[in-house]
Amino acid sequence: MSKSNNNSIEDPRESNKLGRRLVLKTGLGFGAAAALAPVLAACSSDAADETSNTGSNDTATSPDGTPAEATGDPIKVGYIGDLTGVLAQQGQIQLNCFELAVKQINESGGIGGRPIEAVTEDTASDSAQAIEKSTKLALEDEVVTVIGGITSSVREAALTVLPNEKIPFFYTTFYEGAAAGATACDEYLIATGQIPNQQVAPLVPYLSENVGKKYIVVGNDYIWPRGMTEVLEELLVEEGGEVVSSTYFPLGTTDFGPFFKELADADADICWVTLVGSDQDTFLQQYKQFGATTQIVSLSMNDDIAATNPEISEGVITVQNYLAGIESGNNTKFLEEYRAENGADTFPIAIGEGAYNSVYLFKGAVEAADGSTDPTDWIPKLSGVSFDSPSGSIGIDADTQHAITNSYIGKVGADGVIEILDEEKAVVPVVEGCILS
Amino acid sequence: MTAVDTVAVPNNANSARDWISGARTLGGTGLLLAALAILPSFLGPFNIVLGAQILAYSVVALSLQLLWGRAGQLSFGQAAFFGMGAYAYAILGTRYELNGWYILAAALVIPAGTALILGYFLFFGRVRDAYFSIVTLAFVLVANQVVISWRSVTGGDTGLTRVPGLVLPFGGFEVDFTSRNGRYYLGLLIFSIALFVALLVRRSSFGLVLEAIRDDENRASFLGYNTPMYLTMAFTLSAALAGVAGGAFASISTLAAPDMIDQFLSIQILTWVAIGGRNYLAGALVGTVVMRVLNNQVSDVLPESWPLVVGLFFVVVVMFFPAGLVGGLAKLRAQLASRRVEKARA
Amino acid sequence: MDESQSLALESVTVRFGGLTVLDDLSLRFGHSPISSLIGPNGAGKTTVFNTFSGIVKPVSGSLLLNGKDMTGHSPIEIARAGVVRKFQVPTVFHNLSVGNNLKVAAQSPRIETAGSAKDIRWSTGDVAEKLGLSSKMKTLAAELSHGERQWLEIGMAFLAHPRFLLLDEPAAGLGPEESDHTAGLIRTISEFCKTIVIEHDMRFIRELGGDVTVLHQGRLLKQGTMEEIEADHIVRDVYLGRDADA
Repeated sequence: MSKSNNNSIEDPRESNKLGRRLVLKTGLGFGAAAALAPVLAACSSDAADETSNTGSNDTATSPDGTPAEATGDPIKVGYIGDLTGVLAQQGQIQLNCFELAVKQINESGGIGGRPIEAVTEDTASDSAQAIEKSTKLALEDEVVTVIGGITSSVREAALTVLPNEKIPFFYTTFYEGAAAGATACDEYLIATGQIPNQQVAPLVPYLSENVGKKYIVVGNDYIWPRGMTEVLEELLVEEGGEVVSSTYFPLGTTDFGPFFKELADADADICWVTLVGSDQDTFLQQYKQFGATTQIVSLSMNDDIAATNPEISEGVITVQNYLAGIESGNNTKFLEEYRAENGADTFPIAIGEGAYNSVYLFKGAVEAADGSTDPTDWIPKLSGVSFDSPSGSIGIDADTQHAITNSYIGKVGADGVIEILDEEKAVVPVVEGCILS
Repeated sequence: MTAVDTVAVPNNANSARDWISGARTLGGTGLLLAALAILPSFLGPFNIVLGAQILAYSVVALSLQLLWGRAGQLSFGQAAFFGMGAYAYAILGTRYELNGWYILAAALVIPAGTALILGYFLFFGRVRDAYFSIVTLAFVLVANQVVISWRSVTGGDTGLTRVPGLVLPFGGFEVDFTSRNGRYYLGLLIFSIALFVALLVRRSSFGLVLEAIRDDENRASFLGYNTPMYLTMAFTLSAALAGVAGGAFASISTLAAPDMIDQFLSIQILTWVAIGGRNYLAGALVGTVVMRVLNNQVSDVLPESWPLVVGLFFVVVVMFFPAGLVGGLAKLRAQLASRRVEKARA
Repeated sequence: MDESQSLALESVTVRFGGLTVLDDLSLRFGHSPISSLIGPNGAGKTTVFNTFSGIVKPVSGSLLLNGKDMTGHSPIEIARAGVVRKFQVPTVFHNLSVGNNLKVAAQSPRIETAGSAKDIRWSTGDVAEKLGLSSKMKTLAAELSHGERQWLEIGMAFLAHPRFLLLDEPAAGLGPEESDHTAGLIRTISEFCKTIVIEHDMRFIRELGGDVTVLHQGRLLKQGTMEEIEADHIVRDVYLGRDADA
């Protein structure tokens, strides 16, 4: 779902270095995950983490044992995201999750007794509006932090405004990391979505083992899909796999015919899809009509899409830092409360859980900084905070200020429910050359 | 009987009246600019930035008013020239250590030059009205695609961020437009220049001939006017203004992005001009301010459904005031005046 | 005859599709300050004007202005050379005021010819007065009556520095009084430039005076004074007679 640019011509040496580093750093994790895979698939995944944690349900209580009302001066927190336009559906879910966290925190004592006052702004997936709204949040509402963002262009726009005003930005969507010249390393950027070494790196070995190593790529024609293909190709060098062909279509394509010709000739094991929004729906529809049987792997598949369009989503494999099928007490409670607010058949998605987690991580850091909302006080505390999130225990890596998350590989079933096939715990984000601590 | 050439001269009574109305316009404009100059002392920091953006947007609205209102040719390409100015500014501003004047000049010359060439082929090729609109729409789509595809220069989908502010050297000293107030005054500076140009066009015979062409191009050409040349000039001037607006906007917003060079922005600009009244210079300004402020306020209160409200407002205004807010007001004034005259007669 | 004051067609043929509208037609205007062009419907009168003003390109023959070949020149070039046109349907700038209509016409570009006769300086105000529109300088042309619009267009054509002024049915749709005013206007104008008028109304043509050219089926039937034309029995047969019966 992320978009970004590359305004420098890529240096192949740089890319290779990144690729090697990616594999090196995650190599150990794969081994463990692969060995544990059958066990993990069989039992629930909420193995207790030994690090100290603030906990999602760590409720502040008053002396008589009932949850305390937050009564102090409110702490203003901004939400900014794509609430109208082509990504409105995802943006809405992201906002729902954000609001759920704010509600929970305010009902259980706030942040050190102070309630959170949420200020919501829409970017309409428009850079100029993102600039305008970020400026408003910073200068008029005087929020202390901003959470949200889907497209990379909106992230970049927000990052041109907020750091100047010394306002940290929690970006909650999976994206291309530093791969495409995007801003991935900034002292005022905190990312709670995944970057390629957390999303693609755990997935490829799984696919090698269970599906195959010959890929055919179809994506939208912009930098996120292209960046993801680059990362994939680098990983496949180590795996001994290959990408036989890559086809990119402009956003808003209605006929993917040319790709199906390629597909028929390619004899590939895996169809790697990096199409977004309605393009993915259109593609899956035509894929089914075409009668293709190659395994689809889509990085932008989620529970919401799968549940809305089960007949075309069936069989698609994805990897996310959150899937509704995670079996843990935290997730059950999260789903319950989310649905109580938003309807019985609704699904939170990864970028929403990222927003939810962001609010709690912020809370943890401010409390660890003795209630100071000055970012120079609480940002250094972030790496010491561990949060027992719906997707398991997560934290913030001190060097990159990106989240250390679990990665879940899942497959859409006939009923539109994504079944979790495999997972990898606590994957550390890698942003080449980024040392913020 | 010999043929005699006739030459018209304006008669004195008319020129005196013109002079008075000219002085009134000048006075009103001066007051407006003076009010805008002291406005920042009454505004909070965010509204100063918003004001700076609205000033830059007003310039692009003025540029469309010139072409659409005065010359009768509706362009969907206004955002293309706005975006070209923005990207010219952002690319030169982020990559090179250039004199601010050169950067600003590039934001003017590149869009104007493009419009000159495009306009030449369109207008001399007898492309007018709906066909002209369609071609300009295609042009903005192409410009958008170029910006997205040419990643190494334009930053592709994300655009160019952290664009530096403008510093203009004046002889021995420099005027720095990078601070928050500085950005506002950059907006005000280009707004003043654009307003002056627009007023000049309105009062000039160039502007009058454009209006004549809008009414009946054939008639104008049978009077000997080279109408394609006039339209090409109007298009070029309009693109120059739009380009400067884009350059200033990039400087004010520290950004040049693909959505500053797309059809949606073109349509937005069109709605500003339509709401205000396309036949009125003041219409472009009123429309821009009303729509930008409305956009900003409603999207704050209703972040999930604001486009609906803004769209509804647009429809209602166009339904009840087809000539725009300023046009409606002018009509009302005229009706009241004629009623007064009738009463006086009775 | 003085070549420098003439507008002429030489052996001009104009065809629209298979239809020959002007058939090897040779015509010359300029010897009389006012000339009228008459003929039954379909005789080719408006096509003669269209050829003069460059809208219609002849398949053969040539257009001569003051002896200079203007065949194939664009309407703009011909207008600048001093051939100015008033259309059959009054075409003024509807959303411009009367004053601005006159101003646009007065400022229209033209070719300055060396040795042209003395300049008479006309202000738009003077012309408006002659037209009887002085009190309506600020009125939009759209709000004028049909007659006023006809006069405005004549005034505009006059202000556009014509050597030859082509008026296509200037009295069409006018009442008798308006018609007389129009004839008076044209006579005044003809003191300053050669005027050619297409009209059906014979009373109006008599009022104008000047010589008369009769077209029939794309050919020249007769050119002469009103008396000569009325005395011609062929003309009477094809045109005047029928007109008189009506």
